[in-house]
Amino acid sequence: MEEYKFKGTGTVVTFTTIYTATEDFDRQTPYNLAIIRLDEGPRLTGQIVSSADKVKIGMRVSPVFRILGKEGDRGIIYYGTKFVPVEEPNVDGPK
Amino acid sequence: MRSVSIIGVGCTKFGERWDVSLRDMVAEAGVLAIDDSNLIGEQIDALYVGNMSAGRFVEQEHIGALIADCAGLSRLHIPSTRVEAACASGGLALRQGVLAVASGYHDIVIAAGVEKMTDVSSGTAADALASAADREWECFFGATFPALYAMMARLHMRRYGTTHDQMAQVAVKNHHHGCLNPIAQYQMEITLDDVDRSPMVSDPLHVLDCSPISDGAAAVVLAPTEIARKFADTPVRIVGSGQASDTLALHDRRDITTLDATVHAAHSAFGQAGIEPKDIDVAEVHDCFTIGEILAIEDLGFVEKGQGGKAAEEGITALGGRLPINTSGGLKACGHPVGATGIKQAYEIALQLRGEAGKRQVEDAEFGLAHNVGGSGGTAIVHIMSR
Repeated sequence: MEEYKFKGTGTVVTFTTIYTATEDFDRQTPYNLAIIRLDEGPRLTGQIVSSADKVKIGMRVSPVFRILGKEGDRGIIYYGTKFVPVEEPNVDGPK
Repeated sequence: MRSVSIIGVGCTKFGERWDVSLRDMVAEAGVLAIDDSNLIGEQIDALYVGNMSAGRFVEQEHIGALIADCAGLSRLHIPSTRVEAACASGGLALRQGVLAVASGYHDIVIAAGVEKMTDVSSGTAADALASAADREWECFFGATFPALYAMMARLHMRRYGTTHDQMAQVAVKNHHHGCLNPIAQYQMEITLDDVDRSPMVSDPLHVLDCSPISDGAAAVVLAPTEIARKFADTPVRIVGSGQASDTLALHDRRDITTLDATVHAAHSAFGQAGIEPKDIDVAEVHDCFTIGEILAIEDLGFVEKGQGGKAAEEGITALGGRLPINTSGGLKACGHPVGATGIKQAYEIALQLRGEAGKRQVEDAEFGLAHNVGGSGGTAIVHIMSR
């Protein structure tokens, strides 16, 4: 076994916007959840931080480090990876 | 291996059963099944019970011993085993019972299923159900069950042009069937418009695309076919029993819009039965969400991949159609007390094959199929039954 670090960039395979969640995620609704195919091949499930109408199948995403959840006000805070849409370079528009 | 038959069936009313407990329901279903099979308690060799999460829902584990006790059988000291495969727990209990009788180890076996889900808040229930998914790789990031099926639906729509109206038609049809079933949780008609206007749960799935939180129990009595007629006038033979597994997480599947576990379990069951999907007259399939029924009829081989939505739209799967699906109302309208569902499916198919399904009877049904899925497809169980 050898440790391998993924680039973290990938493509949206499919997605949904969640309006009713489990108790742990209830305060975050609505949020986007997607299956993402990493550029190296494997797929995983993660949130996409974006307005729902911007998320599309085939869209490129990159990773961001975010809080995923908290165990109450004084409990453990869980951190992990979420994803954001990759801004496509707009060659014609202003910088 | 010996041929196995169902010699008795019983099922409680499904719904929000605040008047009864888990043990009341499992006793009721068990007594109905034992009465139906003309047995006495001393003839029962073993019990299997499907239950997903009594620990979370009613804070009671050790359901095996509990059901033997509630059924008044504790003095016989027979083996009683709880099995769990999330929403396929009932189907798994049936399969364990079938294997026990087929192998010759036991003669008379009861396979039951029970779940009491409405004693907790809907958030707690959603979290308990989410434990059927991959806790570390899906739920930790915010996945819910509707979300996983919504992602299957989204990709199916994109690839095959399936529409939300086609999915909604599954709910409309199953509610219509539910109206004809006295044990169904929902006995009311709904329209496509009702589904469309119901609140969004996980886009594109609305509330009325989802099966409900339910209480209920069901039981069937199994015996070797060679002695089945001693107990029942119309025993129902189990001619195929298939079980298959797949990755726990949806994202690891070969194909997001195919439940390979269903494909493999069906292949195994049809092989044993020596028949083909076109020979099936009536089927109960796992419609935990409307897209679930569309995927199921494709993966079971009833229609081509991608044609499930069209089949729903054209009415092929409605009562009176070429292949009536979910005459009980399915999980959608009959209700989905998860551990009980797989046994209720066998109950419905047995009634159909015995010609006792009342207003929802399929004429001259000879072969029936029951299809039960655990999680988003980590387990699938298929039983084929015959008159």
